This record gives sequence, C-alpha cells and structure tokens, in this order.
Amino acid sequence: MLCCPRMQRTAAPFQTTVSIVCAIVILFAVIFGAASCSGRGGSELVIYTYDSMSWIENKVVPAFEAANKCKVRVVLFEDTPKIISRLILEKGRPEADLAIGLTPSSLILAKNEGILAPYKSAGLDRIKDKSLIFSGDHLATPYDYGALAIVYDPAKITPPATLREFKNFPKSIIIEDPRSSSPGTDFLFWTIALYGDGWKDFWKEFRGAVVTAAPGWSEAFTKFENGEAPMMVSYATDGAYAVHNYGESRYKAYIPEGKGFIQIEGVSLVRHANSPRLAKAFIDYMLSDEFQNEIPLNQWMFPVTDVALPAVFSNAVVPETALTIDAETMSKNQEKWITEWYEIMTQ
Amino acid sequence: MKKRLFTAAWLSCALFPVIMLCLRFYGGISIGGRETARLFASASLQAALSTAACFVVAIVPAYYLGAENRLAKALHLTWIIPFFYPVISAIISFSIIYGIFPSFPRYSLLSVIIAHVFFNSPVLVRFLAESFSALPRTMREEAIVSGAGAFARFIHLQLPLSLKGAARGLFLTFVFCFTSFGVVLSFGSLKNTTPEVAIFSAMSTNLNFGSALSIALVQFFFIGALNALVTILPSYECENEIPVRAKRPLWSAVISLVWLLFEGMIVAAPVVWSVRYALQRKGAAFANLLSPLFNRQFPVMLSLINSTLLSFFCAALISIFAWFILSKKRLQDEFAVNSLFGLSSAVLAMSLLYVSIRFRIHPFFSIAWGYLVMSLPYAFSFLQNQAARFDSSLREQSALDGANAINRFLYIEWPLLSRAFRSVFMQLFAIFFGEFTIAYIFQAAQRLPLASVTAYQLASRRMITESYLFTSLITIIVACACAVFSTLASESKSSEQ
Repeated sequence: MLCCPRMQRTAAPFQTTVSIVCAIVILFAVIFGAASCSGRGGSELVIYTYDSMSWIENKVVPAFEAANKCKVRVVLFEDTPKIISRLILEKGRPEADLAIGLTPSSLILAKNEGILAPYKSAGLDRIKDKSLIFSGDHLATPYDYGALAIVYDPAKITPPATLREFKNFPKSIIIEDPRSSSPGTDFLFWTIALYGDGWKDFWKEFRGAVVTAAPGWSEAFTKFENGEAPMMVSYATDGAYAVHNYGESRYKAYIPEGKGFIQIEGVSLVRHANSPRLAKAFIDYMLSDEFQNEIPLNQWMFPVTDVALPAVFSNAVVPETALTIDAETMSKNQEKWITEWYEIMTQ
Repeated sequence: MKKRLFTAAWLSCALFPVIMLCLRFYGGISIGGRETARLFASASLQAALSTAACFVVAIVPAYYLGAENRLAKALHLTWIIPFFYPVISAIISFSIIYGIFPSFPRYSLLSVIIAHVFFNSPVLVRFLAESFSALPRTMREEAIVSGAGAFARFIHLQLPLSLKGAARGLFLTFVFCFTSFGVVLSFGSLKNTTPEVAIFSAMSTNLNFGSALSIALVQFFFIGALNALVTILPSYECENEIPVRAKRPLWSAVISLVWLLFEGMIVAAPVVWSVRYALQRKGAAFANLLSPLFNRQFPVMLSLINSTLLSFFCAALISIFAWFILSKKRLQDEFAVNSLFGLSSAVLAMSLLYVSIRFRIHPFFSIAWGYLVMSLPYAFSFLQNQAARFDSSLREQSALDGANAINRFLYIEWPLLSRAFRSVFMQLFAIFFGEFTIAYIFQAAQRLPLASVTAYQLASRRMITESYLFTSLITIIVACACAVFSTLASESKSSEQ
C-alpha cells in the first residue's frame, strides 16, 4: 500500500469523521424510518386545511375529540390549491380524511381527479340559504361564505363608484394573480359575472389601473400596507376585522355598485379515507351551532346557519346583489378564462 | 459501454422521483405551443440582459480579486450570497429600497435585472476571477522572455486558459437568471416571467401537472443544449503553478468597494432593521422567538436544529459523492452532472413529494435526495479545479499496489485534499441552510420545519420584526459556519505547507 507516515496520521481523524458520519446516518435512518413506518391509529382523524383555519385546533377540535374519543391531526397548507395538489399526489393512498376550505372552483379540479367521496350531512337542513349548497352531488358541504370587496386607504384616494371607472385611475390597485391565488380567481369570476361576454373588453381597460398581480392575498396585502397602491382586491369583512383587532379601521372596504361576488367554502370527505366515520361526524359538527358560532370572529366569514352575528360585523360590507357563476359553466371555462385573461394582461 | 452504463445508472437513480412523476402524469405532457415559445423567448431575453448586466458589474471586482489585501478577501466572501441569502429577505430589502423611489418601475424588467445583479454577480465575480488567475506567473514570465507582447499573451495564453472558466461563469449566471423563482415572482410583471414561475403556477393553481412537466422538459433540454456548448469548450490545466498576484489600480478598488457596499447593503438591511425594531420594542421580538408558545405556532428553534442537521448530513454526503464521480474524469459524467442544472426545482420538489407519499419516505431523506440532485453540479464545479490538479499517477500507483477505491480515498485523496473537502462542505452547508424552493414546495413545514421556510412563513404572516430577526440569525449562523470552516481550511493549508 502506497502511503507515507504523514498520510497515516491524517487518515486517523478522517476515520473518526467517517465513523461519526456513518453513526449519524444510521441514527437518522432509525429515527426517521421508524417515524415513517409508524401507522395511523384507528381513532385518528386527519384534516387537511389551509393556514387561516388553524384556529380550529384550539377552538373546536378539543371538544370534538372529547365527544368522539379520538385524536384529530390538523395539517395546514398555504392555500386550497395546495391541499388539492397534495390530495392528487396521494390519490389511492390518502393520508387525509377531510379537506376543509374547498371553493366551487377548486371543487371542480378535485372532482375531475376523483379524489373526493360524497356525503350528505344531516345538518344540511340547517343551512339558511339553500343556494349556498354548491355541490349538488354532495362532494362538498358549505360551512361559511363571504364576498370580495375593494379595500382602499381613504387618506390617499376616493375610490371610483364602478369597476369600469377604474380606467381613470392608472396604477392604483393591486390584484391577486388568478393563476396562483383563490381571491385572484374569484375576482376574475366576479368581473365575468358582472360584465358577461364583455369581460374581456373590461379587462383591456382595467389593466391600466393594475399595479401588479400579486401571487397571493398575503403578498398583495403586504404591498398594499407598504403603500405601493391605494387600493387592493380583498374581503368584505376586512373592516370588521380591523375594528375588532385594532379598535379602528385605517382602511375601508366597499363593493362597487353593491354587486358582490360570493365566495363559499366547503368541507369534503376524501375518497378512500382511513376514518370515514369520524370524518362524517366532523362534517356534521361543522354545521352545529357550536362550530358555526366560532366562524365570524375566527374565520371572518359569514356562518351558513342561522346563528347570531357579533356586533362588530356591522362593519362588514354586505353585497346588495349577490353574483355567482354556476359550477358547470365554471368547470367548462375556468382554464380558458384564465388563459384569455393572461393574454389580455400581457398584450 | 460499461462507463456509460455507470453514468446512466447514477443519473437514473438521482432522477428517479422525476421519472415517477412523469409516469404518473405522462398523459398530459405535450411539448410546444405558442405560449411556451413566448415564455421561453421572454425568459431568455431577461436572462441575457441580466447576465450582461452582471458581467458589466462583475468584471472590475473580479479583476480586483487578484490583489492580496483585505478588500479582495471581503470581495471573495461575497460568493456565498446567492446560495445562502434567503430570497424572501432580499425581496423585503428591495421593496424598502424601491419604496424610497416611488417613480421607479417596481414591477418591471429593470427591477428584475437589478435584483438578479445583486444575487448573481458574486458568482460571476468568482468565476471571472478564477479565469483571470488561470495564467500562472511562470508561464507569463516565460512568454515575456520569449518576446510575446501583451496582445499576443492575451490571445495565445490568457484567452485559452480563461475561456472555459469565464464561459462557465456566464452560463451559470444565465441559468440562475433563467430559472429564477422568488425574484421574478415578486418583482416580475405578467410579461416578465420565467419557466419556473409558470411551472409553479401550473402545479399549484391549475393543478395541471402535465403542462408543468411539459415546460420543465423544454427547460431541461434548453439548458442542456447550452450546457453542452460550454462543456465541449477546451480546457487547459496548469499543475502546481502559483497564480499571478499583483497590485491593482485605485480606480478598480473604488469600483469594487461600491459593488461590495451594494451587496452588503442588501444583506445587512434585515439585520439593521431587526436591531432597530428590537430597540423600539425592547427585545420583544427576540423573546418571542425563544418563547415556547410562539415556537408552537412557528417552530423557529426546531427549524434551526433541523436545518443544521440536514445541511450537515447532505453536505458531508454530497461532497464525497461528487468527488467519487469527478475522480473518474469522464466527459459523460461532467455532461450528465451539468445537465441537472436544467432540472426545474419546482418539478423536483413536487416529484420528491410524490415519491415520499408513494413509498412513505420521511421528508428528511426526500429533501436530502432533492439536495443531492440540486447541488451535485455545484459540488462538481467547486471540486473541478482540485480534480484537474490532482496527480493521477498516485491513483494509478495505489491501484497497482492493490488498494481499492475506499482505501485510495481514505489514505491518499482525503489527506491530500482535506482542505478542498472542507471548503466544499462549507459551501454546500451554506447552500442547504438557505435553500428555499425545494423546502417550500415540498410542503414539509409541519413534519420537518426548516429555517428558510419558517422565515418565509413569519414574513408572509406579517410578523416582519420576527422575520427580520430570524433572517439575521440565519445569516449569522451561516457566516459563523463559513468563518469556522475557512479557519480550518487555512490551518490545514498552513500545516500542509
């Protein structure tokens, strides 16, 4: 063996290093391997939802666990599309039993992939407005709803009365990108519901008012707070949230012409769920007064059943006319509309 | 044939997750279309302009790196910025700076180019500096003695010696700008986008995996073709030579200092802001980061531990694996490794997630797998010069003595190259600690929280003070790691001498 004495001296610490690295590798393999192999208990319910629903872990889950003698694990995602994308990847071997936060547009994608199972909850009768039931085949059960609005800084701008008039306010509004954000997609639907076939002409005029299409609501709000634009597309309950948390609202929300687009959120049972009994029980629980009472001040949306609203909700904007697009039209056209929107915005 | 099989085998293993995802969604893959062509044309233009701007900005600091003084040492340290500095911190820093100039077109090609200059010019400085120093002192002196003028020396010596290194630097810069994600997502307009952003949009919103894979495939071949051009450029090796170290004129020092201040200003912004806020709020943000209640919501401490362990594990493994491939000195290996540059990080992350779900692999190993694929070209680049200079006769003699590959590595390569290995380990550690795209898209925040994603979560939930403080902490940890390993490397160097 060709080896000088100095090399032998240097090699000894290396062998120690190799041993340490090997030990670490084995340790990791044992710890993480064991963690990966550990199966789920029979009385565990796994819920996939998005960040804003994290409040359920402390506010409602403990009561459900006590009543059903089970363990609930809430897995949080950044937004609804990421929940669906995870469910698509898990198709056939799902980890989740329930998916909370699906909107009519995201339900279409989930439905096409066949990752959800129908469940008709006994609590559906308690829903005050039956038009909120957006899935006739019961792939999703609505639990809350709200509306989009334009939020503005009154110190900087007097906003236009109609969306069409935005063409006179160049570089004044931050919107969300419909390709990567649910409020962005819903804002596009709002304009389509409002202007019908003329929506493309509207966007050709409106694009001049757009400062940027942010990837998501959080990014848009950060830019808005930084003063990059005096207006942004947001939610109708923003005023109520600000008054409740800060005592006053620096920003104001309004719905141009009172014609607002309704956003409905639903909960779905995952196909081939490991704990379908618990999942169904949780869907029923979401329509109970106990759960519905928590929605206004935690989720900042309107409950779907007839529970009393907190006083601070008098600061929320309610659309005079509720606009929607039926699920089938949405299903057929969503991708085409977004492509056409992108073409217009990049011309 | 056997050698080619070896290359195909390790490449297939590395790309196994991507292959699995392609098989799962193969029905939707279709290459071409007007939209794809337009996307690649606009991304190419952006990347070409960004690379040109980086070159203009980097050329003087790269030239100045040939000097031996503190400024040159400080310039040398900047190379890690593109790798470890979290994109989210840079985005916030730029938002503040652009906010000072309200008339500046914030969401435009120009703002993207400026951000890319910040991120990528340090890489180009390093590569250009190395190519400038490729002309050894003895060779230069011999040429002068032989009567070669400055122009002749440049054409016949400097250019051939530095061409491949400079081309590789320009190629890397172009690739980084072309595949840019966070910067373009934040400062790009709908017109100025990149394939990575388009892939992310297709996968995260439209859930059109087929479309995402189509774009990723075109990107892979596009960058692969560019890489092939760079790989076939001839390279010249000068063994055991001392590079030229010379005094540099004052104007180059001034320009280098301005560039260093520009880079430093962006890096230091979160630190300065966090100190300012910490003073205003009397340390409340720092107390928050340490409080168990806050850590239950944002696992700050756990993410630091996880990132340290993962970075250590991956850096050790990959630096050795890269050397193992590199020591074979095969062109097909070099081409295969560099082709990984074209692999979409978004697709890689989604593939890893798919394989992780399919085979119940723990996120730790899945992400480590992703880091292996992602960082192999970097490790390869970092070790390339050492491999070129390594005396291959030692390897041949040890083979004649009957030493196997492990013994050869243990008793010959490691002792001789320990400094290089430590240096590569340090570089990879820094890269992994700040890596964001794979960690973020993999969605392992709950099972395996990592520092870069936690910093992003803090910023996106408007916990700006905590986010700045945490980012500063990450910066300081990586800087300390760099300092420790640099010291070790210097000690090793002096003991070898």
